[in-house]
Amino acid sequence: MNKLSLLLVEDNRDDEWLALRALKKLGFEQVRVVRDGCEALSVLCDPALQGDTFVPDLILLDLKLPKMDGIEVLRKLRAGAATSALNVVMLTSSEDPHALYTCRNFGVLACLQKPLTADALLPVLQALSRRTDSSATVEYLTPAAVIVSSISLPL
Amino acid sequence: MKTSPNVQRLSLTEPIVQGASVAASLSWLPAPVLLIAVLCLWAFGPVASFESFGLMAVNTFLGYAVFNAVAAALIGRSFIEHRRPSLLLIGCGAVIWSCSGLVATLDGWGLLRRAVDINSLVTMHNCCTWVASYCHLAGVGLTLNWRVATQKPRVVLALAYALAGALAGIVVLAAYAGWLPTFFIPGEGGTLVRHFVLSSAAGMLALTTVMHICLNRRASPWLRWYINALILLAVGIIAILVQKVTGGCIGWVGRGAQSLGGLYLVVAALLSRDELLTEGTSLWQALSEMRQKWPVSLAIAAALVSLSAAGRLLFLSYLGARFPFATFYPAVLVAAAYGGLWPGLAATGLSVAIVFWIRISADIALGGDHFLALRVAYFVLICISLSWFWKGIHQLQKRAIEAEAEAGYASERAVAAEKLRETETRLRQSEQSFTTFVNTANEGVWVLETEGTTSYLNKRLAQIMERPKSEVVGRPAHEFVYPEDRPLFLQQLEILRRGSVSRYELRIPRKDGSVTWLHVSSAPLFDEEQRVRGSFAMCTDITTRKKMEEELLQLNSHLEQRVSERSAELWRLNVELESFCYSISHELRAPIARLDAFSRLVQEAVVEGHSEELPYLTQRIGVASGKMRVVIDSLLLVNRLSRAELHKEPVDLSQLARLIVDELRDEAPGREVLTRIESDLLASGDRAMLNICLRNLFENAFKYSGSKEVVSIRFGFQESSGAYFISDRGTGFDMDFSHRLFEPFSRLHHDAAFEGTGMGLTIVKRIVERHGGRVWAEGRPGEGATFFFTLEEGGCGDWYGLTGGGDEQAIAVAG
Repeated sequence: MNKLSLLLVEDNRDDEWLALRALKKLGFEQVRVVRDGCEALSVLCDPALQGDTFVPDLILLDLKLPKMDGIEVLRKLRAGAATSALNVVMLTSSEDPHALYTCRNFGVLACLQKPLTADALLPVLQALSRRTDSSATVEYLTPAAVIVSSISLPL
Repeated sequence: MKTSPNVQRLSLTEPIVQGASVAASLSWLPAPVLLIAVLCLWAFGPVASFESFGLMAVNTFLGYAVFNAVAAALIGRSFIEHRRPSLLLIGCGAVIWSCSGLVATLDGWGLLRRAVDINSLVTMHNCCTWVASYCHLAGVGLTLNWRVATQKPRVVLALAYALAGALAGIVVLAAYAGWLPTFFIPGEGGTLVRHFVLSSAAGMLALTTVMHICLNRRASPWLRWYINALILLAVGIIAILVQKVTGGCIGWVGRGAQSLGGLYLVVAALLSRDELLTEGTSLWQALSEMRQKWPVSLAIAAALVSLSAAGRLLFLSYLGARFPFATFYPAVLVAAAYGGLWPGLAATGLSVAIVFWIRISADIALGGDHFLALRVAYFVLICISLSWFWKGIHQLQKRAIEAEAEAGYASERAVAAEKLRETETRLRQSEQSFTTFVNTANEGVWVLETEGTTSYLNKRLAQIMERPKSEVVGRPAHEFVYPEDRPLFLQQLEILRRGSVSRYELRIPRKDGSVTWLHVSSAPLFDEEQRVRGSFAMCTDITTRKKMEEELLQLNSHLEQRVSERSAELWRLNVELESFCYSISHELRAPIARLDAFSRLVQEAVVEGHSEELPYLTQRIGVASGKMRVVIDSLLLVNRLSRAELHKEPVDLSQLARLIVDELRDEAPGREVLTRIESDLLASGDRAMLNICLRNLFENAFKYSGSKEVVSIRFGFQESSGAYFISDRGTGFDMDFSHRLFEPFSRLHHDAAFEGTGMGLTIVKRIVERHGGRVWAEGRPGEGATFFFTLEEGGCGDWYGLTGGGDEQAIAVAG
């Protein structure tokens, strides 16, 4: 049983089903799921909640979402004081280099191919737990430390 | 070979000619010496006499005959070259003298054999001398300038010499026949006739000499020798005249002088050929020329009077004292006719003097004349009248000549005036054509003074300047130039002032505030002394050209701007296309990745024996592949819409919409659908494409009305925006995301809520754009959405004018 709290932002039912199945395999029983970017932001930083906001250890954020896409959500999170340090893993089925480059600049832990698999997420979780153990404060991972799954970025 | 004798002859005579030319200045010396000797001998005359027939014969033969014959031959040669009758007369004189010499020689020989009458010899010789001297005088009277234009000078020469010889023969015959008066009486000496003849001969020779000196200011060598020859002959005659006995000293001196004169004549004849060949004149010209010279007129008068006197003496024995002036009338008449008043009067005076001399000399023999004074008065009166008459004739002649000359001059003047008029006419015509040319020219002509004042401008330039000519002429030219161009203009005027040509472009302000561009090509104008007196400029209106150049420039810059805009547009489209490609790859990869994941799970389920999962997994595989097929189909549709040819035709959108709604109702039975479709919405477009467009929009409205119980859709035309619209009362959308509505594969709602490819509105947009229109949407979350589209830029409502009442249909479809 994994103690880390997760937020999955995913609009496609099949992808959600597959992601949850992979997470279950990794020991995550309770995963909070939202269906689009707006919903995600309202869960994470809606002022109306008045401090009762959900602060997940890791956000699995789909890149392509209705209304507000993943990058927009990421930008808003990084802009907010309370949410700027949240750990994010991007999920995508695209290989758009611009989008991936932007994500990397916003300091995501990794960009993983959809559908999410346990094998792909495991190293990210391991790295995250190592850092959490060694230090009291959760530090933002430098882009150099980001593990990017088999994607080469054109720089 | 003709040249060699010529050369030989030249080489022989050349030293003599040279010597004679040099000695000419001294040739006068013997004459005065001999004259003094004669005068001395006559005054203190020794009575000694020396009779020698041998010496006499040598003298007459060599001194008279040979020398004169040689002289005649040489002068004849000169005549052949010069063709002057005066030379011919001199030659004739020499021939006659030579003949008399020859006769005298022969007579001398004859005298030795038998007794010959001495009187005949003297008469013959003296008469020949007189005739010869007459020839010399006539020679000078004929003027040296007269040349005859004969082609056969030898024939003329032969004829003249034959005539001279014949004349000498007649004289000889008359003398020996005793037809002539007695000249010499042995023991007494010469008679009055002989005295007259010899003295008149000497006088004529002297007169000839004087005339030659008067007529020829610069005596040439030949003339000097000739004059001196004449003087020597005259001296000789004087000596013979005054001698008392034949063998006296004076007689020998006289005969020697005559021989020396003959030698001089030879030398003169030798030199005469080398005289310069001057321009000759006709006889009448020469005569009128000679008449102007008074010595000639007087000489001719004297010669005529002496001829008359000789005639009178010839008839002395027959006429006696009667008719003393009978032979003198013709002399005076001819003298007056030739020379006019003064020669006539001179001849009259001379005649009277000779008549008195004859009377005084012959009075004793002839007896008295009681009416002499009356005769003289009558003669003088007649002669004065004659002279006067001839003077009048001469004046008339002169006037006639003057009038003729005047007439000639007048006609010349008339011709000249006519020519001047013609020239003036031509000049005027030329000026006229020049003026026409300048005034009708399409170029402006501008003539300026040196200081820059306008002195002339043509019609065209006045037209260009939009001013009357009078306003411009006399004013400084720079006043009419565009202010900014004035420094340039003044600079160009300075260049012209220095005498150079200049070409430049100039602006002239126009009344409407615009400018006229001129191309000016100007050149300086010069006066007679090559100083610049102004300038001439041709001005071409190049405004149109300038305008075109400017337009071209603007067009170019505009083109550049358009190119850059186009490039930016292309770049943007490229970026869009790139992003579209990633969208497509995402849309296709997503279902493939799901297929991959589900199929792996199927494998796991089979391996691990979880067969209860299989139905769900296989179902999801089907959904994923179906999704993929839909994406591909929609992509193909978009592609087809982009490429397909647009077949425009009138389309009734209202009817089309009803058909679509009916179909959709059939596809979703059990839903209550309320539609309000305006009737007669006509448009021009591709029917198939518009069908797809409307179907997508209606599907959209149906789909997003899905959560509501009642679907209410309205289709109509909004007049204010000129666009068709489809509105629903469905889910609506947040206007913040309206810009993403028409992007491919974008959705404002997650898959779970509304199934779809995300391509519907992209297809709508593509179709509308193909028709040249645009599409946009308005909406609010939960309150429905309205999609607007136009089919032509700027709307189409005005065109069709069909905005009137729609038929509202509330169709409840029972489930």
